[in-house]
Amino acid sequence: MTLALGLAAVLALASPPGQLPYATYCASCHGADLRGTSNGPSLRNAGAASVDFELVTGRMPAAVPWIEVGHRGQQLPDATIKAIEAYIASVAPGGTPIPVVTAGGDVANGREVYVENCRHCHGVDADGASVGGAEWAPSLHRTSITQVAEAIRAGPGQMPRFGARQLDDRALRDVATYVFALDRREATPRVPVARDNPVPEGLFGWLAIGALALAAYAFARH
Amino acid sequence: MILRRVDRFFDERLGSDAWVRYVFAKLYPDHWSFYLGEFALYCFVMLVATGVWLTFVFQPSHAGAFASVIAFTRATPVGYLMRQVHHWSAVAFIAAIVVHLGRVFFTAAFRKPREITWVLGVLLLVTASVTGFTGYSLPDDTLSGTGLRIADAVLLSIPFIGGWAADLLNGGGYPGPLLIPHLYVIHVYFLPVTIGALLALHLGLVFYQKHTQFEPDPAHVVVGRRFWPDYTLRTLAVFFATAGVVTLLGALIEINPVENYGPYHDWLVTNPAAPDWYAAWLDGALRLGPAVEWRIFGHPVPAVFWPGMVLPTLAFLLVVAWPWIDKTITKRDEVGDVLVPPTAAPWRVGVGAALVTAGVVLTLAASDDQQAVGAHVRVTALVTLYRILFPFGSIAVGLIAALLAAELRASRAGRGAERERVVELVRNAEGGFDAREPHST
Repeated sequence: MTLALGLAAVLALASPPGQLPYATYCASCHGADLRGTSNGPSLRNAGAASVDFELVTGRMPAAVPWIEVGHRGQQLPDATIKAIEAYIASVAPGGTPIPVVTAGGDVANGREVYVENCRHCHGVDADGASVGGAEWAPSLHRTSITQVAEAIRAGPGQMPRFGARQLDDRALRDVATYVFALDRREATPRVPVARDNPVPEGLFGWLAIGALALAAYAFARH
Repeated sequence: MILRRVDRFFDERLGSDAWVRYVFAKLYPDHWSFYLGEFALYCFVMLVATGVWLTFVFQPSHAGAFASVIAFTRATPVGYLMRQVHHWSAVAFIAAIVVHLGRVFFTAAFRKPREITWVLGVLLLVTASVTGFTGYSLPDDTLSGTGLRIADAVLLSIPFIGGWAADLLNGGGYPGPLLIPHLYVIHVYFLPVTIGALLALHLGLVFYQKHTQFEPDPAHVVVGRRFWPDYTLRTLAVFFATAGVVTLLGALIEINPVENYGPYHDWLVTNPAAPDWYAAWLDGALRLGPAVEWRIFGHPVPAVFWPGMVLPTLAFLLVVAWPWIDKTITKRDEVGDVLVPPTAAPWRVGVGAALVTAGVVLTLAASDDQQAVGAHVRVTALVTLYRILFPFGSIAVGLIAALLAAELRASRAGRGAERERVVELVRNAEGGFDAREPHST
């Protein structure tokens, strides 16, 4: 017993930092050697942007392999994520680094970039939309500016990756600023029933005619 | 006093008194469901009123359309309100027409001699829908541009003449420089004038042939309210109610936020994209249509031709020919001035319910992508579901509705017989009265 505990302690001390959380949360699917298993892809070429995106948005660690859970909020403490990232980077260096962006971009240009590159999947208001089959592009409303930039550079899931030749760093900062600004835009005085498509408008039109018909029914007999 | 002098002026020159007296004294049958068509009429009045204003500030060109919409929307609160009320009136207009059509269908008001009124009404529905679609396209925003692209593809799919038709509309390849100017002329001139003419004929026939009524009239008597003052005040109330509702909608609830969609360029699309509700069944049909590309006499016919052109044409023919189809089924062609309660003909209730269900299924299919995201299911699974529901769901709902109507009719007939049993009172020997069946001696 003592021997076993001692052995574990020695192993923990001897192993590089981050190996233990990697083994705990990642290795069962991605393999102890990061080469992937039948349950999960290789992380050898993942890159820091992709790893950080998956961990910070809580897509990883997944409860069940191959089930896309979407943005569910960060699942692990900051320190653990940092340790896992450092470990993966030490074993498999390279790949797309975490982009450094700040919210000082040009919102108007960011909108242009968004309209031409992002809107046909993420939707008019970045509320998320179907991209066919069982896939959907997620809402971008609860994300941080860094996560937006990471997703653009790393291209998680079905999303294509946009390298520096498609979108330079300025465009990246602008579009990330625009998406971030969507949550803070000024409130309109009207009741917004349809920010991105007219389906709810039809319902309201029918409700109006229904209300008028009810009024006619109520008053016509007097 | 002045009125009297005006009246005399016209009467001495035109002999109008007899006519005015006839119009004022004319009786209009009264029932709450007879106001449904008036909602549509007054929505049209609102559409013309706001539409005329919009023509003063809108620039009908691909270069200027979107910018002018944003400019007049932002410049004044009136601009915003006009555009909002115009669009809400259009949405409510077509909803009112459909509800009115349903009332006429289920009470069999289309029977002889009112078949022409029915045909004019169906033409009004079609014209109103096309007017709505062209108006929705005018701001030249990305959402409506996505819709125009689809409409262009459907137009192109017509065998032999599709290319010419699309060229004519676009003034060249899509989206031609003349597309917005063409849509503008169609939307503000051609179609509204057509609606006005159809409406005049439709209402003229209602006036000339007299409105149907629920009260049975063995002596051909119209039971109703005089035009002046009863009916005038009622219809004014309907006008103000309709105008009030669409104005409130326009003032309070945002519709078609084109500033959110941005200007259209032919390399852009929006997601999720859906048309206004009255065109959604066509979009849904396109989404459900089979992926078949047949060659007819060596000429390729694209898949969108069948759901985009053939299905709506068949639906139109079915609805427009309904009075004659109904005649063929009932084998009755006598004058039908008296409306029948819907339950009187359960089979008609079934047909109507099946058609409504088919329309609802197609309309739902037009937002299948949004439902798939909301319900976390595959879009393709929803497509399969709606493909099954379109024929079989419609038939099932039609059968259930027909059975319910038959059941209702039977229970009503039972109660009616009890209530209206006719008896003969006969004096008995004690000096009282006995009730006995009539004519049974």
